Amino acid sequence: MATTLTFADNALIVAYLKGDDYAFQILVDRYQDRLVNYIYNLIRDYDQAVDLSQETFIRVFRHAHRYKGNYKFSTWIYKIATNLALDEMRRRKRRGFFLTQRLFGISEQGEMELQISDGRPSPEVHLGSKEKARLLRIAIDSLPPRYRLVFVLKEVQELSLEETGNVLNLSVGTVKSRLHRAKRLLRDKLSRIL
Amino acid sequence: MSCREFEEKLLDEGTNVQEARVLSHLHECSRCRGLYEDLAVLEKMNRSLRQGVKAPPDFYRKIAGSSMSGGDLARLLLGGLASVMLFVTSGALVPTTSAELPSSGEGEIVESRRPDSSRDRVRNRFQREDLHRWVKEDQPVSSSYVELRVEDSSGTPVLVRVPRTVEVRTSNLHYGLYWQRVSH
Repeated sequence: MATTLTFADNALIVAYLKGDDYAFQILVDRYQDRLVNYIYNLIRDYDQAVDLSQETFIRVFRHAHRYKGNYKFSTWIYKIATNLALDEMRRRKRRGFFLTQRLFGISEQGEMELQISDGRPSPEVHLGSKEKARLLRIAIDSLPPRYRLVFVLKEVQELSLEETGNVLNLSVGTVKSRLHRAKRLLRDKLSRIL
Repeated sequence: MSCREFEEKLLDEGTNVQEARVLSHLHECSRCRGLYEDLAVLEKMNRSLRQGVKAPPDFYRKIAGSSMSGGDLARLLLGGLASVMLFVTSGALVPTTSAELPSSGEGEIVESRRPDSSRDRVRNRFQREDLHRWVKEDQPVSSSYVELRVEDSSGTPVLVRVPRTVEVRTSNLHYGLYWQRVSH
């Protein structure tokens, strides 16, 4: 029986701080897809998601000595990625992306009614998985950021309630209530295809 | 169990919840069954969002370029080159091109043993603990495998045998860590 040899994140950080560059490369390899996916699900711009993920690793690289190991490495890296993604979202808002959002029906509170026109298949018609995924992305994008962040971290990235709370500096109770709200909103928005 | 309790439980834990009272309520209440079915579809759709969007192949290059000094980068590249050359000059192995090697970032220990304990115990140790330090250079045992004498994180010496081909690929990241150490 074969056994998989892996190195814990903390051990890799320690190895990197001792001068082992390959240890850092392993960490990049381990987290790069997750981070690109995570940021993409927040900002919906692949190139920007790649850039911000790379920036996340560069910050980890430069500040590795500050990592104390009192929480998980994944929490730390998701925190940095989240802050970068939030900055980007704010920058976009300032640059007038809200005009585009209004054109597509997003309300002042950042919520958007998901309109599925009459020309689209009725609920009885089986939608392809790609079409369903597209509608889910639109519905997630229409969530206010406070709900979207919790939903993406917990349900898409599969972080635990505790780790989601640690990344966002929220209590588990707040994470739960935001998660409930996000799921209820998504259920309403997607009611015609669920 | 009330509908409210059921809904809270489902929203907290997802549709994998197996508690008898939850399943019992699910069986009895058609309204809650609707919620359960909707959330199950939503969970399935969430899974689709985890796939498809991946980092590009040259993802690491920019990070290395931005973060390392010229010396660091040269050391990294020369280290890889020296490692490959070591194998070429040893004559023990014909280097495999990276295209023929597994693209996975993980390697496997195909055999491990320690003189004073069972193999299974050693395997379990590897699953739980990190290999800590390579204490001896690789000993070629065949063209396919190499044996390494290592220490686990408790300092216990362990002999492991790993596929040789993965060593040649310096971009095979898990073995990259090993690589750098034996080539120095």
